Amino acid sequence: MPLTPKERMQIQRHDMPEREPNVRNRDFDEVNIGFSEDAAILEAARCLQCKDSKCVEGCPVEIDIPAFLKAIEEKDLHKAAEILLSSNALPGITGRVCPQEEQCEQVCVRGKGKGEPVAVGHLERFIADWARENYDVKQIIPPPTGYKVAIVGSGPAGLTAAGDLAKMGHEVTIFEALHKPGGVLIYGIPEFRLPNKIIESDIDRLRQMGVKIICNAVIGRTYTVDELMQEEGFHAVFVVIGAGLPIFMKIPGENLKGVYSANEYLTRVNLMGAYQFPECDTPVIAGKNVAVIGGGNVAMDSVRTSKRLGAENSTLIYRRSRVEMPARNEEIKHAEEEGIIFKLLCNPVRILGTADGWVKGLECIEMELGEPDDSGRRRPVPIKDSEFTVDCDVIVMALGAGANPLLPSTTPDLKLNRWGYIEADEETLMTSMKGVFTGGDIMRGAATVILAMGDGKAAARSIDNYLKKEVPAPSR
Amino acid sequence: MFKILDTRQLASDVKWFRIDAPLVAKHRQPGQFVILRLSETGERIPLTIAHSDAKQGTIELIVKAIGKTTIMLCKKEKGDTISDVMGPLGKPTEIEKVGHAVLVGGGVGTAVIYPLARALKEMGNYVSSITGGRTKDLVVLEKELGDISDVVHATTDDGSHGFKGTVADKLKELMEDKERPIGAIYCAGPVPMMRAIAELTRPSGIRTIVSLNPIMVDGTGMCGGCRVTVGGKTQFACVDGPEFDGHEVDFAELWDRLSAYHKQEKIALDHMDHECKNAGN
Ligand SMILES: Cc1cc2nc3c(=O)[nH]c(=O)nc-3n(C[C@H](O)[C@H](O)[C@H](O)COP(=O)(O)OP(=O)(O)OC[C@H]3O[C@@H](n4cnc5c(N)ncnc54)[C@H](O)[C@@H]3O)c2cc1C
Ligand SMILES: Cc1cc2nc3c(=O)[nH]c(=O)nc-3n(C[C@H](O)[C@H](O)[C@H](O)COP(=O)(O)OP(=O)(O)OC[C@H]3O[C@@H](n4cnc5c(N)ncnc54)[C@H](O)[C@@H]3O)c2cc1C
Ligand code: SF4
Ligand code: SF4
Ligand code: FES
Repeated sequence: MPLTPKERMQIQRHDMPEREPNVRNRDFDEVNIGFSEDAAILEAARCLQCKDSKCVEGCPVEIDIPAFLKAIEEKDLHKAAEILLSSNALPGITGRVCPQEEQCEQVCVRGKGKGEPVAVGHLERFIADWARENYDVKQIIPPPTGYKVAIVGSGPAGLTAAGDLAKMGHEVTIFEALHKPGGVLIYGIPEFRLPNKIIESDIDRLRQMGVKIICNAVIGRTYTVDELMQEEGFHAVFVVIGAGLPIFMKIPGENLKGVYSANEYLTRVNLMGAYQFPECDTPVIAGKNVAVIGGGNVAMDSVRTSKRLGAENSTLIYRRSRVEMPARNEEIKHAEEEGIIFKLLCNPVRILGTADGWVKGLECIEMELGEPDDSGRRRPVPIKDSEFTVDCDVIVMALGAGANPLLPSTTPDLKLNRWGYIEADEETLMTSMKGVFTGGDIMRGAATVILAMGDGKAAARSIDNYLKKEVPAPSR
Repeated sequence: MFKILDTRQLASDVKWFRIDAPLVAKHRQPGQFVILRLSETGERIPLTIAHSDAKQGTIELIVKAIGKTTIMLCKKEKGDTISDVMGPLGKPTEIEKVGHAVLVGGGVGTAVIYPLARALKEMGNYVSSITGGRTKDLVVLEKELGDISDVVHATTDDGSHGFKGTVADKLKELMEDKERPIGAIYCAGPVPMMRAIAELTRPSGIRTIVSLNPIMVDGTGMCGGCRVTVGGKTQFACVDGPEFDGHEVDFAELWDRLSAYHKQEKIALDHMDHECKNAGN
């Protein structure tokens, strides 16, 4: 007997089981434990199976959410996995890092008023993890079309497009600058939030579908985009190189030892395994007192990482107040539980150093909120004579990222906007160069995993169209 | 995996390698470098490409064993492999006709100037190379530089070989030779040496290009770890360099930043000895 809507309404939202804050903040194992099967089934039963399902519109890759929730409720996990994987190639990743509260879950009818939305993200994670152990994707790959597509960058945009293009029968090669594919997922987002083995298993699935991945290939240096098309025989190129340029504040003392960009700090720890030094060769300076500047996911990841590296005091410094923080709620909550000190409404003015060149403190000034600015958030303004010093020996700048000029500077025909991001047609994602497409962070400015994946999907469709319409079928 | 095709010991702690890396070899120009990683747990380190052959698909490296990664690399032989070789990275040197080009190399830096000497010679310049070290055993690539330069000067601080004095002392002599005025100086080596050379040429204004060696991670301008101050502005050596105008570089800052991991470098070495003992050798 299926449940009545009334019965469904009575089920409370299940919390994500988490590891103890004071245990988890000492290692790099995942914080979230995941739903049990029973909890998942009960949580899925909260879904009202709306005809006009708003949640689907809230998801940039349009997962058929009610259908996959129904399959869970009916204990048909196999079917749930099939539905999920048919529109999302990386569910283990999005189920963990998607800002669900601003997307699918924000518009879920169960979340109206005082209600709580169905935990779509947690259920997605549950199915993805189940599928990794129990589900063989039997991809039906159509006969090869003979078209060759190059993808530059192996972040979520590149991986998603690679999967879709391979399913269309195109020959796909990903070129990645670093020694490991995955983009920010692998070098930026820490293990305790997104274990590397999850990304690796999703990438293995792509390899099984025939996607070729060439690491250590920096496009702009190893090849240029033009060469890929003119000499290497690629019929289309998808440039998804992310927003990989660290931003510094340009305040005095930034080149002292102990000052890191978040990119460097996180890359040393996540990609290079510095938390396992000296078992892994790459070191990182683990401070006693660490100050992280910023209020987004990157800042949260950095400050929580510093705690795990053994810092006694890990302080987050942000110039607005808690409500304006761009980081996900879950990350802020986890950081608070783990003993992170929040110094809000203050802004760094200069870094103080020792005689031998090490960081010893950060001078800040207190701020108050004034009129709203362009972003609609109230603009922080300094309070006169309110300077104070935070003692610290490591500082991490997590102020966002800009457009890395390495590839564009060697691709003169690629049109950029005034911030250096690549311009593209909104619908086709084609750039100013014929056959060259873009998406993800290098088009949008630093955004999210799921938006990058959405672009990957859209670009795959558009590239397929372009090849069939504009490029003579290759003789095979 | 990248295969080592050939090796040669150039001095007790300096080794030459030829490596199969066709994608790197294809586009490499003088002045560029690779970042390599020996194994899954290895560090990424930058090394100048001493020479390359696009047809054979090979690159050559000259490595001085100074810390864990370079020591482990120098233990490798023909047939061994390296996990990752990425590149070519960095801006190529602007190889121009300058007339008399002087190349100054100290220690590892000699590996960096070697390909420049070659390219400058091929361009039709008169090339003088200076390679120096504290004592005889520390002078490297004298023969190799001799083969491609018009003249090579070896210097030792203690006079045990060649000219007695520093590379800067030797350069001063060359600068005084009115017969052969210097068009440009290319210099690589320990920071104090590069600073001394830049100070020496500052009054005369002779163009002095230095190749900087900050600590690097990605080599693509993504991390900012390699930042140096040049002309008062922050530059990323891996993409904006590694070569800069020596008269503009803040050497004191570079020197200081290079010491950031001294403690960890020592731990890494101790750990390596420990690993070797456990492995029974
Ligand atoms: C620390 C951190 C935490 C984050 N947390 C979240 C989160 O919780 N939720 C969320 O939704 N989003 C989060 N984001 C944002 C999200 O990760 C990005 O929006 C997303 O990864 C962008 O995907 P992408 O495919 O455009 O590029 P990226 O993931 O940046 O990948 C680009 C890839 O291209 C490679 N590349 C660059 N240049 C070249 C070149 N010239 N040649 C070859 N390869 C090149 C890079 O090495 C990289 O691997 C976070 C970002 C960071 C940095
Ligand atoms: C552009 C560039 C080109 C170079 N070319 C050559 C070359 O052709 N031949 C050669 O023998 N060496 C070269 N080097 C130096 C070489 O990268 C370092 O010797 C090597 O990284 C040391 O690593 P290690 O683990 O053996 O020693 P460690 O014990 O890690 O370090 C020893 C010392 O080397 C320096 N160093 C450490 N890590 C790095 C790093 N990631 N990048 C740069 N310096 C570091 C520090 O001053 C440190 O004190 C070059 C460096 C740069 C930046
Ligand atoms: S991909 Fe993201 S937005 Fe879409 S259903 Fe999953 S968690 Fe929600
Ligand atoms: S909006 Fe909420 S309740 Fe309705 S179908 Fe979507 S998940 Fe289910
Ligand atoms: S090495 Fe990371 S920016 Fe230069």
